[in-house]
Amino acid sequence: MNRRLLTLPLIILLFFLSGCSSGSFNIFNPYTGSNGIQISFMRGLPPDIAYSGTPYNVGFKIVNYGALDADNAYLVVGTDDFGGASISNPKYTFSLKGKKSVHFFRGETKYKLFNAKAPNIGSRKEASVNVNYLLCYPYETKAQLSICITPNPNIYSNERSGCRYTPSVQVSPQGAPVDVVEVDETPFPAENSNEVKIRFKITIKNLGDGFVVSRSNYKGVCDGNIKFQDFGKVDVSAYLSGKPLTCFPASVTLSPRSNQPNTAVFSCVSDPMPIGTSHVSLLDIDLKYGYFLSGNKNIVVYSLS
Amino acid sequence: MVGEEFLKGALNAAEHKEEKEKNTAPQPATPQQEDWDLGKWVKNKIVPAHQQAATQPSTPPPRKNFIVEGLGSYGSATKNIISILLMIGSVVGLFFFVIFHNWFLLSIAVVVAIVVFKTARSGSFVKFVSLLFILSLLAYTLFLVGSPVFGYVLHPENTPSPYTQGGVNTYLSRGASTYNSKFAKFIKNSQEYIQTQMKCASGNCPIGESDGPHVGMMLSEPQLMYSHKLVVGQPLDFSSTLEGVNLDIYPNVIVYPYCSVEGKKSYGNSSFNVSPSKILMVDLSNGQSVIMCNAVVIPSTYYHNEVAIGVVFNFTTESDLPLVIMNDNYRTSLEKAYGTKFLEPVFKINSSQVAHYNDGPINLGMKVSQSPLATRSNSESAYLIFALNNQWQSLNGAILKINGMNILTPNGIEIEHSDPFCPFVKVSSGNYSLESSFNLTQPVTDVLNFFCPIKVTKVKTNSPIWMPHISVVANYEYSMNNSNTFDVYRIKKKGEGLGYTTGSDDSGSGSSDLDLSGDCSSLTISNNFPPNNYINQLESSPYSSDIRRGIADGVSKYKVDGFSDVQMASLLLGIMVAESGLGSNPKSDWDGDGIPNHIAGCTSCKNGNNNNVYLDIVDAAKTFKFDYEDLCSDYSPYDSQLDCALHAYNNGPNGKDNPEYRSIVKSSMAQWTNYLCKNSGGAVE
Repeated sequence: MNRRLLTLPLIILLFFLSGCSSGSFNIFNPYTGSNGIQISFMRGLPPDIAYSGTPYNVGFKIVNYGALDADNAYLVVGTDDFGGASISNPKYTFSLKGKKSVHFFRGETKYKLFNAKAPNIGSRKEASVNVNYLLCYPYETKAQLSICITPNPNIYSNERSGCRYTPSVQVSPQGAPVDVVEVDETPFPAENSNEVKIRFKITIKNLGDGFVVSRSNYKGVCDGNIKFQDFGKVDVSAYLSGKPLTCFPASVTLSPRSNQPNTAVFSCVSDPMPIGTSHVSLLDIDLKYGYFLSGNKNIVVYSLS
Repeated sequence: MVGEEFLKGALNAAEHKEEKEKNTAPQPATPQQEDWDLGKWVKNKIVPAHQQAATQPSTPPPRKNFIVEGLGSYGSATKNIISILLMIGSVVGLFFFVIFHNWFLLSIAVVVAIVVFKTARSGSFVKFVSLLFILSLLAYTLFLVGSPVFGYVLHPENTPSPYTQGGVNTYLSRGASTYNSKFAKFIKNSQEYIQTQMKCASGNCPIGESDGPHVGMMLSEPQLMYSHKLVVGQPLDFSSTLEGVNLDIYPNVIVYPYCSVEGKKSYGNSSFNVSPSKILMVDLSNGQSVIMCNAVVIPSTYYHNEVAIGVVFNFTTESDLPLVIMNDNYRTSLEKAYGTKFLEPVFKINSSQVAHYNDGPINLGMKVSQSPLATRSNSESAYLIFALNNQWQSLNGAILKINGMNILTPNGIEIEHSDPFCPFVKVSSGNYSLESSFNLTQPVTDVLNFFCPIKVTKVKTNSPIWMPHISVVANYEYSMNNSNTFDVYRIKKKGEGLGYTTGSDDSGSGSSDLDLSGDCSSLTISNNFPPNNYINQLESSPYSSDIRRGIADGVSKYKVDGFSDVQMASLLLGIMVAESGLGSNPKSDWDGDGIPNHIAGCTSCKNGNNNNVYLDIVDAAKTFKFDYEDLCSDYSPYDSQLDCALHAYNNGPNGKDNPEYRSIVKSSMAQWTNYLCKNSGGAVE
């Protein structure tokens, strides 16, 4: 009787444990979605209506929906410059943990308030004033793919293999605004006739709401000091089974004005490997960049009289 | 002769050789002897020298006149015109080169000048001018090219001039650059201004959005208290209603009503009694006020007179335009990365910022030619364009006068007062005032726009995007009115002569009635007057005033050539007697209302002038004039042109002759002439 009573909980426990690997749960995957940091005005902050020359608050809700942490993110708030309108301490530097760190379907959330003053509109009955912001942060995309490697120029050989070769793989977003969207694999003969190299053609795309800048000068947009070459720049690297691939170019540009807007392609080539049968390997792709977002809100300012 | 001597010195060798060759060459047919052919002419003129020698006349034609010969040495006047046009083209080319530094145009100018120089006859005026022109071009080119070189030798520390393309400025080249820069800038501003004007003309002037509630004011059509037909001396009372919407937001604005006749606020020797004399706008808010005007009718120049009630007030409209400004490098980087229209996609900021103004009679729209603006060098200007658009045009509103206007700019933005399209002067930092000499040549009923170069000298912000505001404040005198008409006439007292008042001025003095008596001196007068019943019809019937007006206007407008005023008036009276017994014939009153339907016959039947004695008579005069002067210019077979015209008037040109009708008119006409000239002084007794 007691054995029967114990069997049922053990079976249920086995169900749960079957979802875990290496002793940890595998239900939650932070590397999903195409968002990084999202920022929005807090409701009523700034208010829709303010009065001439009076103080008001500007509040932001900042959430990291990305997989990884964002360190040294930089927020600059501005307002129209007339009638003494101002924002106190308009620059704010902060860090936000990503989904991977907090182990939740969204990362860390921060709320930030700024003190502002409505313009003095003099004899006018009403006026409108704009509050705008720029958020700049460095970010990284880590894409890890289990991919069927076929180290054989004759990819359709009848030799039995461990997996099925697929020349092109569509990839879902990896929990960052810039994501790997497609990987093409092509084996080709190496110098040594017994060896082959694998070329990966990797397509990345900006799927977020903002714009890409170089990681080395990600603050430039928010500070008004940036070079044309910094826009859209993404540093790329890739590893096959932990071994680094040779990628060209080492950095690509995502431009909204190109033929395929916000999309870039680069190639990575493996070291020579012996001709063999197909097998599954891990392809890690690492993208490093800066990202910026902007927004604004209009406030109607009424005269106090 | 100066040119000739000059050429002799300057072109000695070449000219001498050419002359020598000409003198020895056989004489071909001269161009004057052939039909003009431009291609042939050019071919002849540009043949090689050895061939040219064979085609030149052996002896040059005699030189008659310096200019005529120079222009005419190659043939007809057409050639002269072409030469002159070529020269003008060259000068225009140089002009455009100076302005735009277009080397292509300069090259064309040089080629044309050389062709003209080569083809012109030695010693001619054209040759002299073309040589002068070529030397000028040469000197100017040397100046442009040489000044940087000398400048580098003299002042190597100087920075390159934008106009010398990497050369080094000297005092001279700086001067030339500055001059060219200003001139080119002026031309550019002119072009921009003209484009703006054209846009404004096609309804594309900048339009602002009003802040706050919409306000409105409406003035009703003046209503005359009595009749529209007024006699001199009667009260002239009329009124309008002034209504307003949301005007309480302007409690300090005072509206001054006025009354006018024929556009003049004074009436005769006095002005109108206007009530109330002023109204506060706040009192009109969502309500109304009745404006009353009182005067007494005075003799008028015109039969129809326009009365109007209007209001005048001073109003201030303030408009405010947000600007988007960033430093030049930042903007350039963003432009390269995202295109020139990056503001909206990248920063979610509308690049077409709209000015906001306080609602009133004027919509004060503003815009800048670039968005975002950036700190730039002097050669690249942006423009502030603003327009005072009349919003109450349909209510006969107009800006009468600009009392003052100011452009208020934030620190770091300057208005460049460099051309006549921006008549503003700097009064203090960030405050530019309309020049005191600025006057409107006429009231602004549509739009008044300005075009000011604007320069960003520095960007003042913690944020990379600086959003300062620029304001324009305009204080102006605004007027709106509404009108109606009334008719002024007066019945002459006995002895005053015939007709209603014409030709008088508003003062009422010096009225010049039809001076019929003046015509009587050349006429033979007798005591044969019209029957009394007809005289009574003229003098005291219910429509006698209409008869007088009709005759007066008929005479003044359609008097027949060769007729005096008295004769024309008598003729019209004679026609009326023959047609309707001057209105006394009961048959002439078809509808029995006591007014003859067509007192001067059915001439005006087609015009539908039933019961309109005045228009009937005027129509009769018009018809008779046509009959007399056009149909009867060749009056055979009638005894006289008058008989012909009376026949045509009575029956049409092809109708049956009615001598009896003609007889009645002519005898009655004589009687009326006697009557009108009875006292030989002309007064009707």
